[in-house]
Amino acid sequence: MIVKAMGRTQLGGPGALQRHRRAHALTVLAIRTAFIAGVLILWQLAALEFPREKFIISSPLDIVVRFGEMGRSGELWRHTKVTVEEVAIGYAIGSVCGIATGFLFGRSRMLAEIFEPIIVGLYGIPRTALAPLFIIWLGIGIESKVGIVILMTFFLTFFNTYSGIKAVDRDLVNLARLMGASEWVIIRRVILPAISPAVMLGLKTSVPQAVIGATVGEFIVSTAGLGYLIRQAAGFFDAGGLYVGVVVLLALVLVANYLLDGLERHLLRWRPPAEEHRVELELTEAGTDSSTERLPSC
Amino acid sequence: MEPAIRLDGVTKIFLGEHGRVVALQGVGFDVEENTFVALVGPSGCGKSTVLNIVAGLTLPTSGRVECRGRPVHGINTAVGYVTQSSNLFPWLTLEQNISFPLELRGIPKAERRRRIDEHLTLTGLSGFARAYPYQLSGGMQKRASIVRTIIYDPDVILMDEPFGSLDAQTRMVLQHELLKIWSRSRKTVLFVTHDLVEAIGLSDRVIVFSGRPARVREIIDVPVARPRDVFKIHEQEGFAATYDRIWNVFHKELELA
Repeated sequence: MIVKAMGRTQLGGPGALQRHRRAHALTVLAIRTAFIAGVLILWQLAALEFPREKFIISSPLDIVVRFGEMGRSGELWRHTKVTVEEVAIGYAIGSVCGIATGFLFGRSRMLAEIFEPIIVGLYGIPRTALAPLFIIWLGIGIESKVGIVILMTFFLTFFNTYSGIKAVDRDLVNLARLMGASEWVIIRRVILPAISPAVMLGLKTSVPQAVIGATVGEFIVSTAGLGYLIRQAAGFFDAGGLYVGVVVLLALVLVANYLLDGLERHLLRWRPPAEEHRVELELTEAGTDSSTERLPSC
Repeated sequence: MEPAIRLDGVTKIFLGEHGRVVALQGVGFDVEENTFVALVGPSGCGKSTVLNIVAGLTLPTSGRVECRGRPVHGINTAVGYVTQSSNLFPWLTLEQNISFPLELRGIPKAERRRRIDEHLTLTGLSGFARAYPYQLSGGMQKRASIVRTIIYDPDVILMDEPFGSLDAQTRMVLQHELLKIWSRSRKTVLFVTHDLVEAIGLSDRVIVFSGRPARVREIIDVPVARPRDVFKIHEQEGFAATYDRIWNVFHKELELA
């Protein structure tokens, strides 16, 4: 008999299950916070213990102080803005091109047969090795970094979209056709939603890559950006300043991930939450969760 | 009057890696308008291929296929297809799923609303209109997939072992509901199954296929009066005799297969 537990927001079904889930999430968050705090405290203690090495390892408090200084002088925001611009423009162009190319290859077998090996071959080149080439082509300004970011973003979004479209369920497409859907309707209402999980995956995995691309470009040669800031700080043995740059880069990736996670939760709300589901079944089978709604078996 | 479906000398040969596979060999039969016809045969004999050919998803190697007098050359939008697995669109809610074909056929919003409510009530799915397919049990997904086909009123409905994956009780409940819905409209249905009891319980006529390559072995009328009670179909007059007739043809095919 097929009985599925329903304890999800959309269908109501509050009670023990949701309380359990919230308690679990809180525990995870508490332990994680404690871990991070512990590492920071140990770091601070180490810096106090070995004052002579401080210019290498810096310390959390020094970083905060440097952050304040660089923030007040406006230096930090100027560099952050440049890097954000490079990443945003490059990521937008790279992902649109990657998704579009993946889509076209998925729709045209001929195109895919001709160009797939070429793209796979190009993908084999370590992309950061091409960064100097972009500097030669596009100069030391923002353009060369945008170029590198495009390159970093393109492949991941391309491969994910392409594999997504190859995996589209033929039965669903055929059924829509029998119901009278035109080719355009099939693309819009069957293929696009069907590939959205794969596209989302490509978009998410290419965020850190895009940031790496911009930073590496700035390392090589630049006049502004967080990569430039980090290299300058290293040149002056300013460990605090260096870490400030690293922390801001980390924060950028985290914010982008957070935004994409939100988008994913909204776009892919139709997908079963795989892990939560498992917890639910264990609970209901053990009979500890009497308040969870159940569908009548049929 | 033209039959709803006519197959004439249909042969289908698949070219696979292990050479030619003859799936259908000179298959011919008519399905009259407003009848419920079951197609039974050993598993893997090519019953689903027949449905795909009628739907225009597969082209026959030779022979003629007509749907209401018109030859089938490509996608046949006159048929509705209930496939073996439910195949609901996972990104649409139950309600959106059954609304989808109505939108495709340009049915105005008010009329869509009316039909959706009517069918959800009829199948007891009203409470789950906003649920996504993964949140529904197998039986509910199956109901939804049948409703999605019936709701837009296609001329002919093809069903490919729709209840094959369900447990015995759910299966009978759904057979009962299918008969209930069907008796309201009496649409033409071509229903593939390998379950003889299901075939007799539901249909007016049973077409028995041979093992591969499939040919039509015999076409047997089911003289069991409607309305029928699928839960007690064994006790209804005419059941036993019909079962014997079909079984006599069918078991030989099983031994061969």
